[in-house]
Amino acid sequence: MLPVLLLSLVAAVLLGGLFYQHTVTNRLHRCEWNDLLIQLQPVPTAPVSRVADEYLNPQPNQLATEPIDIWTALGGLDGMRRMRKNARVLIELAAYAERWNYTEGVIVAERIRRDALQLRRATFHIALRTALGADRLRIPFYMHEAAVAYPLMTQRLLALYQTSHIGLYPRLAEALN
Amino acid sequence: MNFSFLDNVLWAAAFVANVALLLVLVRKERWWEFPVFTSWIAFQVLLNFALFSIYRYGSARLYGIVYWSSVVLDFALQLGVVFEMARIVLSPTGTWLRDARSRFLLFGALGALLAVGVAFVVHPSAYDSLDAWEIRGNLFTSMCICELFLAMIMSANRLGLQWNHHVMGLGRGLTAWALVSFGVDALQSLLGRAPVFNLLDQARNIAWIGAVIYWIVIFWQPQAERLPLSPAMQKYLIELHARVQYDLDKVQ
Repeated sequence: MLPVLLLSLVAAVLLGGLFYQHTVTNRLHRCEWNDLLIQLQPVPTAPVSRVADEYLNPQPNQLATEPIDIWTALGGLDGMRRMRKNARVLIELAAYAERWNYTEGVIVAERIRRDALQLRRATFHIALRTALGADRLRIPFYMHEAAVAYPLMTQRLLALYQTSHIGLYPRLAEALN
Repeated sequence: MNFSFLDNVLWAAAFVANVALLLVLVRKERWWEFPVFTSWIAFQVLLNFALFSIYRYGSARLYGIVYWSSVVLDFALQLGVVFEMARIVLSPTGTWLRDARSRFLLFGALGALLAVGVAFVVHPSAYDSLDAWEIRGNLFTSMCICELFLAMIMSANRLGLQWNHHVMGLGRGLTAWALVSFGVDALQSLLGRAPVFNLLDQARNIAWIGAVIYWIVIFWQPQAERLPLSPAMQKYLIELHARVQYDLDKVQ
């Protein structure tokens, strides 16, 4: 009985996994620029950039901004989720630019991917610690990491479009700001 | 070794399909991009030819030696094909993407361990222990290929990497065949040397021929050009350009 159950379970996981991943691949392959753009969710750009700026350009009295202020600026857990979802779309938009500017598109997409990994890692730790209520002291550090990664990604993408496709740049800038 | 008429027909059909695919890969210069896949197909052609010749004119012992030697090489080449696809998809800049390789290898290793565990748990009813190990080995191979492929496609999708037309076609064909192969091996492991054993093997061969025909079509076609923008977007940009021109004229 055990072999039957085990093989059925493995077969179900493999079938389900491969089918789902193929669907995602096909969606990525067929996705149009407009479809990607409408997937972007609103993120409070100015407050997030302000937090990132404070972190990257230290001034005297670095602890002036309280963690709760940073949390509010990032839009709380919902804001984190939005940034995380947008990160995927930003990568796809950069990968899309490979169609007319392959060399720069590939490199910028890779840079954005690395920023996205930092963002994902930070948001994962924040969500985990918030859910478990444990080791909350580290949350502000992860908030800063997320706050730095997101504006960097958007700036990289905007710069890529500004140099390689000025026609689409205004709509992208409008969607990201 | 007694093969039915249908076995012989499938054998011949597989040989013809493999030769046709090999010719396409060479003629269209796809072997340059897919050297391991081309080697695997060339190996299948040689193996088909060798096994059929030995079956007709050689001894059962020689047939056994060639068959068992080929199993290891076949598995190594199948692994090579999955790694070849991973190399193309997960290293678009020429070097492997950060986290992509480690993630792919981690999930691949976990999948291989799982495959070993499942193959050990299964106790196929076979003629002797060697026969049982053959069934277990087949199950391990097909499960391992499916899991590695799943690990690769998951890594690629997580990083938002897009596949080109040929890699996607190769992936689709390989997935379909590997899944059928896994289903056949799973049923053979559970049922052992039941009367349906040969029938299941024939189903696997038919799936292989189907996959090869699909690859012939895919690799015959040129790499699909991905248009920079859809016609609607191009129209929008032309209109935008015309509007800017008009506004500029008015300002001047």
